[in-house]
Amino acid sequence: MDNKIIMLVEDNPNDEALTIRALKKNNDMNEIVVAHDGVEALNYLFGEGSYSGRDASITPDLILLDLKLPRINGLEVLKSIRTDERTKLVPVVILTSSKEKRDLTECYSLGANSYIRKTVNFVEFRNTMEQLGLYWLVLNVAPENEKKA
Amino acid sequence: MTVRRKALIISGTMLSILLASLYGICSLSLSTGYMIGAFFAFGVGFLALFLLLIDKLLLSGFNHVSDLSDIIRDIGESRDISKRISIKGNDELSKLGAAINRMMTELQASQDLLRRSEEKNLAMLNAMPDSICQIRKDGTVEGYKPAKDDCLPFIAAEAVGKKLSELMPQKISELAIGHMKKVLQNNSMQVFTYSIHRKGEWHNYEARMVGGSKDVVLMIVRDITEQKRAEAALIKEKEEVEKKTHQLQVYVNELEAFSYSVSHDLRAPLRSIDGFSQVLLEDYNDKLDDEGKDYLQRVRSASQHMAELIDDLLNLSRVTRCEMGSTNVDLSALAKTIAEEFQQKEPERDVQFSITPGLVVRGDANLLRVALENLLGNAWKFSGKREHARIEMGYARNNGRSAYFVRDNGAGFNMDYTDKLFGVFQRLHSDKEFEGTGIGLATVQRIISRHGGTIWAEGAVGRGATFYFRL
Repeated sequence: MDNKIIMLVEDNPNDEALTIRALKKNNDMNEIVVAHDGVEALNYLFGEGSYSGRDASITPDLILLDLKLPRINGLEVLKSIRTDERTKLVPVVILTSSKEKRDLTECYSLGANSYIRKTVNFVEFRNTMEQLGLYWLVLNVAPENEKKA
Repeated sequence: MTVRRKALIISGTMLSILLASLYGICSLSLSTGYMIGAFFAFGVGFLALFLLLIDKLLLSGFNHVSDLSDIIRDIGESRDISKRISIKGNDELSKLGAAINRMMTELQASQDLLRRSEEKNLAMLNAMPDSICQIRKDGTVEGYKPAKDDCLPFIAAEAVGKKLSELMPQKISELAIGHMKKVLQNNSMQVFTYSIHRKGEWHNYEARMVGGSKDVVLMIVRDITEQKRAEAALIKEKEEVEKKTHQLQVYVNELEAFSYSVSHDLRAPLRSIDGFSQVLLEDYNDKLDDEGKDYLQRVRSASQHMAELIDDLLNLSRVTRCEMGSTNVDLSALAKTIAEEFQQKEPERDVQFSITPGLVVRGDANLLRVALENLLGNAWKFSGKREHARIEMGYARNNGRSAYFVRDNGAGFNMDYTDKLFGVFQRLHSDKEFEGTGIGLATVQRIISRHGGTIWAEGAVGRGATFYFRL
């Protein structure tokens, strides 16, 4: 099986470390790209700014997106991902602390594929990440796979 | 006897005497004694017959006509229609007299009716809080009924005979005359308002002008000072309410922002505490003794407990501030679903649920679900140490009131502490016995009171608890 690219958009370094740990525990082979705010995330995805020159046609297989981010927040990032031809089909899983109803509604209406609440209990969180990876990177058939060839 | 009647009799008598004398003179000239006697006797008899005829045929008629004209003139002069013509005979004139009498009776009845109606109208007019002025085309006040209380529409109290320009400030009298012209031209009603400064304060008036008779208009004026004052007060109050509502909205928005921040930011450090404690337990397992591991577990469970507290507090504030819907909510079906969820989570437990079907109430489905989750959750939790737990939900009478209830045969509580049951952070059990945040029942109470209902509880230590609520 090909190695997959998981993009983690997360501004909190502790959450970043714990999420990476959880993801690595389940599958050490996947490449994890971290963006620390919305601007960095979009730059990476579209090969702009600090990522200018990056081949934007190579998109992550899964984006784990936090909502509360500096500069450009998660909802705006999601909107940009969904309106750009190159990224509109990439699975986006919202990974957040919030369970506010309006966040949920807005994320789904903007085209999020899934909404996961980060639990405080790390063991639970790791199990969730395991299921998430299994589902989106293994079970789920992505709309386009030819780019990896 | 009237003069005319006397004249008639005298003239009649004189005519008879004249005729008799002429006859007598003619008789004397014949100089025949025999003939004198005979003719004199004949003459006297003729006169008597003549007088009788006059009296019977003519004078009686003359008497009736004059009586009639006398009484009619009398009525006309005195305007007293209670007088009647006395009827003596059955001739044509008497019939006429009777007809006039009948007419007078009817006239009297309709006049009575008119008077009563006028009295009523006048009483109504006097009772009206309005001033009523009749104004001639040239602006002179012709008639004036001032309002009862001290709210005269003019500067002066005496208005009759004066011109509007003398009774009102120039601008207002011009306004009134302008409207009066329109009324007289189109026969339309005109409404206008004006203010007059009287006795140290401003009075507001509303005037309605309608056409009266030709070249006269009626101006009905009402003092609307109080009304205006009340309106102004109402507007001010409304503005204040709006201001307060706006302020409240600002607070609510702030609170929402705060809650959002709490739910987001307060949990992040807890995740780190729990997560890195777990990392320590995993990566440094061989370097930690049992005590060290135990401490780390305590750190983890404390952070998880705090996460629950945050969630429950957020729930509580959400329950208080969210908008309420109103639909038919099937409590029985809701309770059944919740019960199934509990049983799925802890399938090893032996809990018998008994839920009366068809308990439908009107309320907010989401809030009622939260309330039932808490009540049934408590029943589930506090019956956790029973080998055969039993949880009931139904509708029954308690303390003379019909109410919905959730009952369990769990740990129960001491009735001495009933007042603490629904307080925020109030707990009747230690965490060691039963875990909890002490926010659940406070949340339930808020939901019930937001529905305009009440909640109360009965229980005994070791003998279960029953929570009753009315919506």
